[in-house]
Amino acid sequence: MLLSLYTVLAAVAIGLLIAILTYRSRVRADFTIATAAVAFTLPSVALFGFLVSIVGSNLLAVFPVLVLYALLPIVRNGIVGLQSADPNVIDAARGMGVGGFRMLWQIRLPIAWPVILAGIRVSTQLTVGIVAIGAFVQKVGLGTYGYDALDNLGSVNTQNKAIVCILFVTLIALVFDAVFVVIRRFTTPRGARA
Amino acid sequence: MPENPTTVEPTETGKQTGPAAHDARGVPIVLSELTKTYPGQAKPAVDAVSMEIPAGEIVVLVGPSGCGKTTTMRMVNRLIEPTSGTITIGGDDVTHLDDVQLRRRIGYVIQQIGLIPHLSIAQNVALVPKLLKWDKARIRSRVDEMLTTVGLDPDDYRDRYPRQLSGGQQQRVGVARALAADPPIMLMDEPFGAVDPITRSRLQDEFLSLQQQLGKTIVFVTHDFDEALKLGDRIAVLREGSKIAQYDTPEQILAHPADEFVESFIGEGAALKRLNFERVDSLPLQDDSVQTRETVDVSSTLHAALDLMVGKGLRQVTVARDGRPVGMVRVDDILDRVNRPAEDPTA
Ligand SMILES: Nc1ncnc2c1ncn2[C@@H]1O[C@H](COP(=O)(O)OP(=O)(O)OP(=O)(O)O)[C@@H](O)[C@H]1O
Ligand SMILES: [Mg+2]
Repeated sequence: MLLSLYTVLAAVAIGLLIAILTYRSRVRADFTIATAAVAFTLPSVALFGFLVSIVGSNLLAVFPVLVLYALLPIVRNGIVGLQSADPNVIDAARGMGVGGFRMLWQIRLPIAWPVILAGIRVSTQLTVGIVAIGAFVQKVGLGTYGYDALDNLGSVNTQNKAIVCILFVTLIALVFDAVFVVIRRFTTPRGARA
Repeated sequence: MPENPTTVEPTETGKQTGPAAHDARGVPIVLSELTKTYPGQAKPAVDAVSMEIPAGEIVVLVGPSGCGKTTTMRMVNRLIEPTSGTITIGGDDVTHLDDVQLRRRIGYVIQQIGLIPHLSIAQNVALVPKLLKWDKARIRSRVDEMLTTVGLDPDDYRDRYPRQLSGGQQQRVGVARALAADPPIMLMDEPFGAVDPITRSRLQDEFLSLQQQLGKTIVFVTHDFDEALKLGDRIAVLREGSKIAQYDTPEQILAHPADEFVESFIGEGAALKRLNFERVDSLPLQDDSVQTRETVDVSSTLHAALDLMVGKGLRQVTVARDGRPVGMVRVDDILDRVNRPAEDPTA
């Protein structure tokens, strides 16, 4: 669970940075989203395997892959959200002397926030699932149960361990999700609520 | 016929009491040889326009769609950088000023309003005062003052969000927001274009009476000539490339259109429209011994008086001041006035 949390935090930081750097130019934004989408289609097991061959079987092989997967929804929703502000709102604000940084921080980001948050939420659910797969590389988290189950296929405990894995992964995903509902409720400005 | 000047020296200027940065009342704006060519376009959208906008007046830019009104206006607060030419505000060349600081001293209202959706009405109105770092108490009282000024009860509207307001109410907030930091200049791009005719007419009336107290220098863009006639102290009729076809007072443009283009813009009924600019008490009143069936106030326009006569099938109506009859006007008096205007010595 901690690993998932760190992964999402890292992905939010990197993803928003990428979004902020690229949203202004349509070409760069489209390119970034396309690249992230391609990265997303790479099979996670293969990526884990690749990194293990470089850094060995430890957390260093797991974490970057997790962050890479977590990035896509955040980058995409970040860019879409930042572009979504009504051009007239931006024009009026600029015309009254709102400068570049303030425009981003006080106008574009708050307007984009519900969309960005939705991206983070999807990203979190993905991460919880993929962390379980990461257990094949490094025994962390609940994936261990799934790994053990597959490793001892046919033994008495196979089914139990698999069920434990599935149940708890689902449970964690749900807990994170509930947290998001709360976060959204408290961080979305009243005027921006649908 | 007056000639068709590209630069018009103002005859009467509003009160001018200081430099742009400290003065809430209007300061003059001077455009000279102002040109804008958008990248990749052969013809300039604004082609060497020179014009002087006197302090404290409403100057309306009117012209067909795409003639460059918006482009001209947006160069004043440097939302668009000119290709060549200069703009001075109160004598200062705007390109020598910091653009963000400059815009905080210029009110800006657009047709689409552009209120910030996640901020309350109070926060929207407080936008520029906050940027100028006013203290909290001053901002709060200013917000209430401005909402009251534009006819919205602060207690009712302060904490609402833009989407909880009608279009007309939002545009009032737009005007309040532009006026909040008391800028000497206002730029308004078809501000009343998106509301129904009745609301528009009311907003125009309120805007005029507000301007009487405030005396800002206002550049007002519209493509509605009747709006231009109603609001403008001066009207610049523009043709393609923002070229000035005529720049004069509404009365002069109606009485002496510079060319066919201006005439076509005035449209039908120029003579009748002129009647809007003269009051009944500008006529020599006839003896009031004759009884008539209808009465107009001395402050009514000739247009209203004639409308009454035509509507009621009368040849004369009584003129009253404070409800007491002081004389009478006849249809013929109005016809004479239209054909021999007051400033004409033969009248
Ligand atoms: N950003 C831009 N890039 C290229 N051309 C532009 C741009 N903005 C405006 N133009 C062109 O410049 C000309 C003048 O446009 P402008 O918006 O100033 O017209 P306008 O008089 O305000 O018209 P309207 O009454 O329709 O608002 C038009 O031909 C328009 O197509
Ligand atoms: Mg326009």
